[in-house]
Amino acid sequence: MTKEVATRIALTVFLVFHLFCVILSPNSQTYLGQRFAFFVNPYVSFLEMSSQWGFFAPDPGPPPVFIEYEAMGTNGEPLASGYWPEKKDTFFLRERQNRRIGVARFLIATNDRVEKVMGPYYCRQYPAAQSVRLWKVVQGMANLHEVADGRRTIDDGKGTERKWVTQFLCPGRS
Amino acid sequence: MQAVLGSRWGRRCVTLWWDWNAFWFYSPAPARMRLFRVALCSMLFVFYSIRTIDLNLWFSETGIMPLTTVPEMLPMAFRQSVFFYFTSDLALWLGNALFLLSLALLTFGIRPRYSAIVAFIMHVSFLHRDMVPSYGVDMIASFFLFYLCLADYSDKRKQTSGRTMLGSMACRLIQVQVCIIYAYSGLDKVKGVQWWGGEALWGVVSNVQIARWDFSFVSHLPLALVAATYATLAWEIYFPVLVWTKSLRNSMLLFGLALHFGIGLVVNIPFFASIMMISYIVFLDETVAARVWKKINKMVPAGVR
Repeated sequence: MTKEVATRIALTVFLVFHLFCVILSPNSQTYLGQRFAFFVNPYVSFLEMSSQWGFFAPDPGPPPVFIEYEAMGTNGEPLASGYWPEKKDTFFLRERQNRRIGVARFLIATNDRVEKVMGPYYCRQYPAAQSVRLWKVVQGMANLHEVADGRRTIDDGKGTERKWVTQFLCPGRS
Repeated sequence: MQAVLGSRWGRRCVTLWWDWNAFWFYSPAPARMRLFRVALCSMLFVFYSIRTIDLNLWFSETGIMPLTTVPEMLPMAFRQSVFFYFTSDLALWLGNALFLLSLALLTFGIRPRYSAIVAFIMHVSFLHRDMVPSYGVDMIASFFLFYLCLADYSDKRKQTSGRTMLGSMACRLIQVQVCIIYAYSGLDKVKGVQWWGGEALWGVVSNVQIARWDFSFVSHLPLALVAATYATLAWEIYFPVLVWTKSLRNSMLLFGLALHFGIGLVVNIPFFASIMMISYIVFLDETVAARVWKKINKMVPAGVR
């Protein structure tokens, strides 16, 4: 066997393995995905090739989401309040807002995530705060026909839901 | 052995093996890969320079995700990062400088394979340190930087050398990866009620958090909206097959350019649109890519290699 043939065989083995992993990985919840997870997961996780590729799929969304916070002082007085991300993009470079939106979309899936990430973060941001109150805000979206008929405008915010998450006590301060 | 190879099935297997070899290992594309590398890495350099502004917010212990919180958010088994071992802010900034430097070196073709390896390691390290603020561009960059670690840009090497074979494979892997992305994205959309109903694009343009402008006027063009929704769906599903047909390739790529330009214009994600459009370079004809490369080299006399 020549060196060239040996190289081709070695590369073929790698290719088959790699393609199998990157094709199966986005569909990891299926029978095949579970069956071969023992070698696919380590490979795609280590190289960070475990993306789902669901751009605007299965449906576009979610609607605009925000995490509302209120930092509370010693006597329960509000020290600061606001939204993550800010409702209006305040950055000259839009990419900065995009990442913040991505974070909000990830965190809003469970109360636990909001509490564990945003609670300690706002405690660090406001050293005088004793606690931080947190809400999840999901803005309502107008459907095509309502806007076409003039019954709603695209950003009227109707149907917005504001759900209580928690009052996070800042460690070592209360 | 002779009898097996001489049989009908044996001959088919031999043909298949040679077709496989020709496709993966003997389709060198140095000009395409050079163009792709320059476009991708210069774009990523800008993209990650912008991320640098918020480096402490995303990755520092005083940011939103201290190290202890990371495994509570996402499964971290088999995920490694140099920032799990070097946790100071200084290490973070040095790591970021190294990452940006490796992207700059890649853009100019200086030690491209080593630069790609460094860029890939740093990229994955940042991703694993905090995956929450990452999105499509970061994910696609993982694949493309990995494939650049295998790429070869030399016109002079023998076709049978290991490096040329790896280079050919790198170009093919990028092509196949783009097809995988579109196939999953398209087929996943078929599961969506809004894509079936033809109103999915309304869900994109009416989302004030991501839309660039107020697109209320689109509600008066429902047929255009439905046509654009179905066209997107059909194109994404069929791209992975039709792009391999020579007579249809340019049409598929032109539609894709228009689609991603539109996405970049309507939705505020210009870098995502850019990385997808850049990926089309690997589908260009090698002679066209070589001509474009020659023109670029004339414009930059110091020489992007």
